[in-house]
Amino acid sequence: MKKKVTAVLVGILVIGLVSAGIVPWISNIVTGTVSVEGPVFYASGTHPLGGTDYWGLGINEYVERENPVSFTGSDPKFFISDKLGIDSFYAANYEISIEAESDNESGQIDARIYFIEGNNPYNRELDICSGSVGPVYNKNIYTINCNAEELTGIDPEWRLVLELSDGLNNIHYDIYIEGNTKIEVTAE
Amino acid sequence: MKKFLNKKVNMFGKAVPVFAFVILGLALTSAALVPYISNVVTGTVSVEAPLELKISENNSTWVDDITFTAMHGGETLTLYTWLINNANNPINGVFTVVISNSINNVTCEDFTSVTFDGVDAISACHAGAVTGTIEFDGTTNLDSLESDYDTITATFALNVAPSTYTFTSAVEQP
Repeated sequence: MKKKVTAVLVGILVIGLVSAGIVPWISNIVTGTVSVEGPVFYASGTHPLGGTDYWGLGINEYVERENPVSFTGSDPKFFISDKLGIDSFYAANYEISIEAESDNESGQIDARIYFIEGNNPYNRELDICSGSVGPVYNKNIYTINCNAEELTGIDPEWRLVLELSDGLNNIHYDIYIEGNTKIEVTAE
Repeated sequence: MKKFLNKKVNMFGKAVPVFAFVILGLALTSAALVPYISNVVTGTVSVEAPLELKISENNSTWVDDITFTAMHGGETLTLYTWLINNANNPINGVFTVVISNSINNVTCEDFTSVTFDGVDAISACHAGAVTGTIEFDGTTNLDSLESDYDTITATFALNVAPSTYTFTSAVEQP
């Protein structure tokens, strides 16, 4: 009789333990959620290559410059990033915003973005995309959109370049480095 | 029916009406016989996890769940955790952080840096139990009522595919 009672009690204990919901955790569970979007490359008042010929293309940040930087006609202005440290990039839309003004009502800005290796912005390793916007005259934010398929074979040492020019027209442009001249990347 | 109830039966030499037997039957049924011969007492206890964990984005407001401001590829997320041992004995455990995303494809390469209290942890990154997640583990030892504060930073790779990332943290049994 005692054995039967003991067996019944053990059975009840086992059922109790199982229904207690044994879990591996000995604390509550916490969660943090963050939405991650594509990077933003800002025209920046820095000189990542040294000297003063080329301006910076800051990754998610910029250094504001009080006075605009200028270019005339086909003499382009280059904005160059630090080394990117990546080997590929997803298919994306590149929205190029340029805060600018010109001295001619028929102004037109050609923008091109590409990778370079080393310090020479004329040695393009891989073109990403390009486009034009106009007329550019009064100070405003002018926008160009272009797309690129997935980019592979990128050398982590490569830098991103934003080149601004105006073909053959001898027009003077001022580009403002106040956070509005930038490239916003969104996934396609 | 009335006639039947008024009918009498002979019991121990006495005439007893059928009506009396009907009443007796009803009484026995409604008595709800139980096996107990005492009153019943109950005790209830709420069992909670011995360790209490909280998360914060500013190291001052502590919650269980938080949504951080949206970020860009290449940026660094900083989050804070606070752990306290509410039990009356020391507890050893394994502090885990599991990272998942909305497109189920997190790899260690999604991050260029992960630190715990300033110490590099990216080399300890490994695949999680669920496909498309990654995990970081570390031991924690707390005396009774002892607290531990940690600062975790995670720098997203520049080319990480845009999505929503979730950091899930808890302490497991060692």
